[in-house]
Amino acid sequence: MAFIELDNICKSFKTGNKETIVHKDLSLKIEKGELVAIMGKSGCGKTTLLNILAGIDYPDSGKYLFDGTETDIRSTRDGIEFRRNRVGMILQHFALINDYTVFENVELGLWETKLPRSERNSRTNAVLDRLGIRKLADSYPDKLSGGEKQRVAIGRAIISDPMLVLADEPTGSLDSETEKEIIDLIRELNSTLGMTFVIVTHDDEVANCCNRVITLQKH
Amino acid sequence: MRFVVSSALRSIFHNPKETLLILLNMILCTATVFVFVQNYYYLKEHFSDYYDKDSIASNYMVRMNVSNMHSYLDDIKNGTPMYFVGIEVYNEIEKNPDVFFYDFSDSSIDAEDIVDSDKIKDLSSYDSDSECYCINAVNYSEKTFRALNLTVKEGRGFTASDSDNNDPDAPVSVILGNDYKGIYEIGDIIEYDNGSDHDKAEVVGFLKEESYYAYLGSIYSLDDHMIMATEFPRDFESEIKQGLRNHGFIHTSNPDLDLQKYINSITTKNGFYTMELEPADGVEISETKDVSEKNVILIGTLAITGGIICTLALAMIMYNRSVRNRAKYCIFMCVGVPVWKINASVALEMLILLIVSIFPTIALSIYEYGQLMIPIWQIFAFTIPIIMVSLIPTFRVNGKTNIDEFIRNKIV
Repeated sequence: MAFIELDNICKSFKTGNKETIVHKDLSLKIEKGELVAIMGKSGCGKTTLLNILAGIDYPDSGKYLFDGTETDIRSTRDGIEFRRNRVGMILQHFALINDYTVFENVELGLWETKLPRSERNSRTNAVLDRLGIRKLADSYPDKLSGGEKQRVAIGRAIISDPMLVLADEPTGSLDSETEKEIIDLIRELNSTLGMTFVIVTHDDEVANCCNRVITLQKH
Repeated sequence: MRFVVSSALRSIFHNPKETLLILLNMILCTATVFVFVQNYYYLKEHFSDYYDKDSIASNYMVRMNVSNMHSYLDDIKNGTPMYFVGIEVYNEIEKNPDVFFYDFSDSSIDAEDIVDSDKIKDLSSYDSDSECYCINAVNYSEKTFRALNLTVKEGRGFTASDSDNNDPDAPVSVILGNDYKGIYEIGDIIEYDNGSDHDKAEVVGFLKEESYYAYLGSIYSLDDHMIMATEFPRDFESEIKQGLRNHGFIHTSNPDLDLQKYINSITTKNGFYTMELEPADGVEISETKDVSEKNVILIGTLAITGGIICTLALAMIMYNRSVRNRAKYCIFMCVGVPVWKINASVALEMLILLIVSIFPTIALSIYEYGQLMIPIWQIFAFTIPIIMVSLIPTFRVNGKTNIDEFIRNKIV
């Protein structure tokens, strides 16, 4: 049994009287520990697929099996419950809270765990060390470069040891040199931590660094 | 819980301008509510329906217009010729069956000096002047009883013979306030013994509940009072002297009688000092009550209007902040924080500010009155609904926050 299994997923959106089919009978499998890139033209449903995998959105029909269990997400509350400590998210625009320090932004990923403060602190420091941003712990995001911000976002995504990390255009806002650093970092985390990474990207270079590329077609 | 508390505190300290604005709103609202409730209580507790009656408006305090008060008091005390003129004036004034002089005094009796004091222990209170736990007592004549329009619920009122009781072995008549019901019965003898004086009082009646008397602009409940027909322990000062005393009282049951003019005609004829009449308490209280009622209505209107404005202002501030914070809330939701916790943190923040906002009112009350004049829960009963209503738009916008829009960069 695959770690993630989508079976004949259908998803459409209604705008007024017009219905747009985004996914029709989409099936895919992702194994545990894989580093998968999802590619496709604009509007082909990459982000929608990512949202379904994250429990932010849910399919109109079809099955979504996560670690062998069928998910039954039908509301925002279900989605939040599903994601908690199971799914980490990395976004193109970093999604950092500007009035939180780097340390606090990373630690945010542990807020919904029942770990004691000392454990949370040591884990956060370990992640900051691993990502090479320990010296920035007390800085605020608006003082950081794009690469540093994305490292903070990655730190927040992985700190709770999620089984799945989803990244939406993680290098979309970075220059090519920083992009390479971030991709190398993701590859390293994937290989050392064994987390499954699914990356939505337009970028061939990013896709080439992944174990597998899934290309979506527009309906 | 950690998220809720931490997020609420952070929000308070990271948005100082908004926090200050919210606090000011709440302080003003709380203070207005406090003033309203306090005035309402004052009105309710201090103005018995009893004082609406016309009889009180017919009582006047007598001020003797004399240049040398000591000399006048000596005249009365020593029975000089002027004293007899005074008696003549007094008798002539009282020839009118609608008019009589009266007086009263209040005193306290050391509870320990009453035999079987255990029975009345609960009705005593500490009197710092006498430095003892005392029972409240007043000395009323039959006329005083009538002038103040007091009625008994059980037993009988005072008669003229009660006040004229000069027999040291006969007990003084006493009427008890309603709080003494169940402690004493009609006919019971209350014995007093302080070592040097020994006296007795016989219970002849019980006042009806919520009986009051007015004195110098204030109203006192008689429920916990003993009303003695004469001084206790007794002191036989003549009623005439009481009547002629400065600051005695006069009553008329005829509302059409111009009492001042009537008295002036008699004092002038006899060459006695002028007696100036001042409406005694009843009129003042009645007028004060009218003013207080209007004030309560005005302050109540102000409190409600202020409450509505406060609700709208808080709703606007919190709503705008929630819209501004949508991206942050999306990040919280991405890491698994449920919406209810975000809402709970906002509610907690408001609750903390609400608690802080009550302190200036408490400080003001303690500074002005030495205590918090009304229960805090009554202020909260008004302000908590304001907070709850003002948070509705915030909770609605938080509930509609969509992570999908955030991921697609539509919320920044």
